[in-house]
Amino acid sequence: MATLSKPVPMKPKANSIKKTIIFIIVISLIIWAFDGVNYNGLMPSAAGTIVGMWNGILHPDVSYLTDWSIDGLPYAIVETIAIAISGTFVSGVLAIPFALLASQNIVGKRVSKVGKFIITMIRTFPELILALIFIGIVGPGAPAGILALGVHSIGMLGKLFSESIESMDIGVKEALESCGGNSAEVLFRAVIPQVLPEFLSYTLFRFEINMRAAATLGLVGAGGIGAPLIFAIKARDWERTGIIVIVLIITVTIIDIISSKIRKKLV
Amino acid sequence: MVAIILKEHTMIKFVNVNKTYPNGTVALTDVNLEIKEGEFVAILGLSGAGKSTMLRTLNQIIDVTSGNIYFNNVDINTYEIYGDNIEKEIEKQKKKNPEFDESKLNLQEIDITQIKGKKLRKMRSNIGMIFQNFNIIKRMSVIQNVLSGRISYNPIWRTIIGLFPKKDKEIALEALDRVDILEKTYHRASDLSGGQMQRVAIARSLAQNAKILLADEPVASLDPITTFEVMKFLKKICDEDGITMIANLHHVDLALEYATRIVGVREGRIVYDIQVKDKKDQDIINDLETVYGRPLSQKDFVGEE
Amino acid sequence: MNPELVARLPKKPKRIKFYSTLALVVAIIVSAAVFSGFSILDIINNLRFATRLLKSMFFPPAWDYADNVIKPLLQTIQMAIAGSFIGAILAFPAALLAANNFIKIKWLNTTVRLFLNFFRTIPALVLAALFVSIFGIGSFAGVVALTIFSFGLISKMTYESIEAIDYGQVEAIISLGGNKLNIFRYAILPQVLPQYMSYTLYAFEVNVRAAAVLGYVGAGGVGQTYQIWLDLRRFDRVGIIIIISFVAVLIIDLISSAIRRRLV
Repeated sequence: MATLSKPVPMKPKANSIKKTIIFIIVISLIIWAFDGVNYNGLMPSAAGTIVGMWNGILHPDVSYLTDWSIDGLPYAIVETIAIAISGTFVSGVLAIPFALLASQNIVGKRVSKVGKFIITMIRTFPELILALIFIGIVGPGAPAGILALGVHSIGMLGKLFSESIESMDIGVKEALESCGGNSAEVLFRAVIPQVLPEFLSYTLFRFEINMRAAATLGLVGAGGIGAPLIFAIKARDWERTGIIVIVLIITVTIIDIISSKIRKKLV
Repeated sequence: MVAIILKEHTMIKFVNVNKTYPNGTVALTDVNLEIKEGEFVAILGLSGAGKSTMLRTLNQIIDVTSGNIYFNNVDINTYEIYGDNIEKEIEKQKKKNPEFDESKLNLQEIDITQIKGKKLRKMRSNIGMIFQNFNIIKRMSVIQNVLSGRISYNPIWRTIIGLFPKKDKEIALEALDRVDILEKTYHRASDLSGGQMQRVAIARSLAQNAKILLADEPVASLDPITTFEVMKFLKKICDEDGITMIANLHHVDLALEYATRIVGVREGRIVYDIQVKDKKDQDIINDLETVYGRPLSQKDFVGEE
Repeated sequence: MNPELVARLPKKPKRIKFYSTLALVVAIIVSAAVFSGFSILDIINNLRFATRLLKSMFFPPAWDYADNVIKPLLQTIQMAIAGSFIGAILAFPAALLAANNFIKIKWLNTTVRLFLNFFRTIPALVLAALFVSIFGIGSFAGVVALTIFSFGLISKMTYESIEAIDYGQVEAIISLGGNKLNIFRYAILPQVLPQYMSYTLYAFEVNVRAAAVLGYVGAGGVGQTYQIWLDLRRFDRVGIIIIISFVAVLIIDLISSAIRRRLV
């Protein structure tokens, strides 16, 4: 090798040590995790179950689909959609004051930290538990589901809304203040018109998520397709399970597509 | 009885104004300045010299650390600024409102640094402000933007919903006509070019019935042709409506062409103050070297029209 | 107003489209509320139950039961880690197949994307219930459900990342004669890896929350205990489970967000 004009610089050691430690920690966590997963083998009836499920998808219980009564599939799906719409609407409206309280350029540094903390608290509270609590308050059925979705969604929408507000152009706010506007006027004529399209887009996105959540909440009795679904699964009625799953997937997919189209036109 | 102030006075008076920002930056030092009604004052200086701060202390969007800013002949009941020519202003008021009762007037000198809340907002409604990046609400229509100028004349519910009375709509339309942009009245503001947006901003200040117009680098974002257009409008409303114009400008030739007075700011202090007609243009350009701390170059001028 | 001015005024646009859309939206929302029987009056009437219930849950919660919550909680975290891990591993190749700038076979891209979409459409709890029927009660069913859920989530975000890379680096590798493997190793991997890890951590955060309730259908973790104590009306125990789960999720979120911020 030809002689170099300068010595080769030393390879930084500290970085490699840090990386190795992190690697070891991660691997240990993963191994520990799998230790807790108890594989009890398949149920003796597993084979039959899988065959049953497959049959259920191929030969779904169409009579449930055409049952237009209150016990039928169409009613349950419509109820699920209604829960998602109402819950999203409630959270969309309620998230606005929370978001304002969490935005640094509206309420200042200290108050916004408190606001952000409250929103994080709401986000962390599991929806299902919220649904159970609301069932305890207003009884089982759709209204409990709406309240649970409504309150929980404030967490995500509040966070996204406040990020929108914090990244908006404050110049317009200045302009209205300088013509003599007070806080409310500035809010409604400067802040809200600017952030409204983003708000609507986020609300629609949350609606897509809430459709799935609404289906889930029914499992604990908060209305919608969840309850009939879990009953069908527990009763091993695979034809009924099949039709519900198929219709659910189709419904959610259609709503996702429509919602994406609208959201693209908003921004 | 109209209270008459006996001493020699001007509409606006800065007295020993100092401003230091919380992070330690000293923006203004010992600013003393008197501005008469109807003047077109051009404030020149390097970026960061304190021009923006000075402008914003006038309507208290930024507060002062010490000092006073006096406005003369302000009616304590309505906080309307009557300016230097009281009689003329009273005539205007009578034309707008036949039942105007001048004996109820109580004109005093008000220090804007000492008032807050509703009183401050009322005073602000007399002062219009336009900005370098226009600060128009892009998603609203042009007319709603101009109507924003009427918010201090209307109750909150009207301003929030956006339902202004017919009289205000007429005022807005006339303002739009003055800046020659009537055809865009119902267009979305975002459809407009930069120069058009600035004209909408000017129209908003006209709709406000502003007696003073603060312009913070109003043409810095515009191309040369539009720059001259906008400056012409500003000059027009200064001459025709008697609106006192105070403008931060980057370009020396604009100041020489349109302003009646040039004030030079350097490192937070006023270092130059001259009536444009008192000296030859070339002499002023030479003087400005002390304001900028360097000889003037091409970029300090917009160029030929 | 000056009549000459009036003559020159532009026409006021009719905002039919706007108002009809607004009317439609309002109609949808109102009918949804009516259909589901949502009534503010009913809620207000029932609020006194709220205070009673919350009091029995949290004032005070069953502190003595806290130790019994830790073990199921740890199992919950294990499920979340395992599910996110396997899901992430499966997601990467799927993302590569779905990205339209790596393997540019259109029908393959579309099929994989539909496949992924399918898994994202079924709620995790439903998957868990189905797997309980196959694998029996216990955490295994939960892990499988979380794996599938993470698979769907991570692969979507990852293939969107792959499609958003700076293609110039890919061209550079192609032009010096690299094959698909080289392109992957030198152009795609360095750009996408940090984001991929960030998505995995995000999926983990979601999974910890999901795992906490999967037990409700018998899929292991702390969720199983909710049902028992609710039925036995021991709300104070329900309260302590909620509090401990909540704190755990909060801590994990904070750590995970901190790590994610340093990744990207």
